Amino acid sequence: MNGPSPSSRVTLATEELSRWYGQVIGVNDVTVSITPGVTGLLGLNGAGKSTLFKVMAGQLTPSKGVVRVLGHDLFRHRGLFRRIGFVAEADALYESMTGREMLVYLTRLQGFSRAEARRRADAALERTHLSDDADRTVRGYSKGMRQKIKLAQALAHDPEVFFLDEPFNGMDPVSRREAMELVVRLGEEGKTVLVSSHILHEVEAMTSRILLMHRGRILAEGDIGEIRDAVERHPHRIEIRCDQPRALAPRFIEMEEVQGVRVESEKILLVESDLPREVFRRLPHLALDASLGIHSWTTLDDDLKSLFEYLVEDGR
Amino acid sequence: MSAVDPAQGTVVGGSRPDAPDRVLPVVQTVGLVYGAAVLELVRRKRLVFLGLALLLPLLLTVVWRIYGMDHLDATRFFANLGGMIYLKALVYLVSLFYGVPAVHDEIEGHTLVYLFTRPLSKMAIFVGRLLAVQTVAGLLLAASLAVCFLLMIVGNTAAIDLEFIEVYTNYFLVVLLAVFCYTAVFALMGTAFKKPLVWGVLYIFAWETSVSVIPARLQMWTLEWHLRNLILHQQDVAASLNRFVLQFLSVDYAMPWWGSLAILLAALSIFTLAGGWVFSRKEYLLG
Repeated sequence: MNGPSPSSRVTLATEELSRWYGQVIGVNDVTVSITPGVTGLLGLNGAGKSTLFKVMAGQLTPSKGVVRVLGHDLFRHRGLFRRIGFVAEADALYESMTGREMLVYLTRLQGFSRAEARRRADAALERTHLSDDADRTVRGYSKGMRQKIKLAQALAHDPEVFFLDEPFNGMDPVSRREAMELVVRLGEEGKTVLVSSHILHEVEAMTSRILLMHRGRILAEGDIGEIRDAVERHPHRIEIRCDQPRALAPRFIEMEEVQGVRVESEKILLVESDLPREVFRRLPHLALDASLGIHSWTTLDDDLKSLFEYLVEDGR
Repeated sequence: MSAVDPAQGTVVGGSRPDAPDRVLPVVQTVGLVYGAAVLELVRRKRLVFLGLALLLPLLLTVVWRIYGMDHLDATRFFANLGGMIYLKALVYLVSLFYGVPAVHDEIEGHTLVYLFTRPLSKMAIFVGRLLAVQTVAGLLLAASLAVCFLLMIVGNTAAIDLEFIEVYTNYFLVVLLAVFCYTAVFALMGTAFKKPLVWGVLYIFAWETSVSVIPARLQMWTLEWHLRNLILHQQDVAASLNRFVLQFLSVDYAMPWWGSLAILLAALSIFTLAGGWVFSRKEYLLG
């Protein structure tokens, strides 16, 4: 799982990339190779995702190492920015401009004529469902609309490589779904999309390829299924809500894949298993036994924090 | 406007649109950044605030028209107004409030990230924004001076003589040159310092206005000294100036006016280039 992804066409790569702020290390010796499609950059808050994004997108110079975009060193070729679309995490916009003015301006700065920039801005507004609000000043936009206009400015010049830093923050569920579908479509169109998030299921909904970042380092890289399999080598805790936890406990004790069972309360049974998928497979059958009164079950370890804890533990 | 690719749309320039070394031409970058910045500046509340401040000389002119014309002729009144109100107060105020935010607004507002992720020369971005603030600041002061002129001469055409036109034109040009120079100084501070407004105020009071009246050669290192040296008063006009104004307009050391003009133009160029140089090299922590 560690090391670069096998690929015939690497569009985005870093080599031994490090960035530190004085004594503080933001990104530590990161080497990755990313191919077209959507790649999720996952990490808890403070993991170094934004610093890595800023360095990879040419906003911060690396203290050490190289960033290659489409085979070229980004810090030696500013012209590469024509082929990059960047959505920053910060909520920064040209407040006094209308949405359309802002997009036309930023697209013209990519070298397009006024008419072409206008056409592209309109297309990007359409794609991000902002056409109806295009002539309102950005100052009056909701948080979700502000995120969309940030996406639109990254799309308008039709770049090949996208850096999207927490692009769904503040979006309502409908906008979030639309934006996630847009990201998936970009990947399907052959664009290279690196999207960061601290929400696991958000990334899973767009891609199976992830980079896991922890304390400035890439902890794991590859298919999310492979990473999950690695995680599943560790005992998972499954919380089962039922009417008869004491009656249910023996049914799990006899399973080979179960390492431990504990009655947490009158209504909760906690099961520890190193093969949680097998337990989940059997649970529906047990739920059919009305005498056990099983209401629901959930894994307590399926969040990002647990994933990191397992991986960190695994690396020791 | 040469390379046209149907798939890419109309792009400007001669080489391949995706060439990694190809940044937007400097003149085009300056023009685009300038246009957007002017639009942004005229929509700011700052314009209203400074516009109100620029009503002060107009108010004084009205007072002069009503009460002062018998005591002070137009030339002498305007020489006092130009020296005391425009050069000693309004030029500093307008330059500070437009020069400091020239690029600092983009840094503080984190919108700089949009410009830094475009294929643009950073020097061109700086120059475009500086030219925009200089245009707006210059137009504000020019408009105030023009209205002042009209208030002085409407129904008072007898006030217009060659001496008045000379003094007025002299102050008009010196005020514009002053605002261009000071905005470049303050824009440099906006790129280099975290609290440029504080540094700007310090610069005005601790350097320009203080050092420029110290009776030693040190005063020649201030811009204000050279601006004063460009004020070409006739002896009798100078003699009529308010003592306070005279104190600030007197020049202790001799230098021909064109020497000061050359120094001011050189200073304008140096501060502009220095601002662009700092802006191009300094790393800003943007969102």
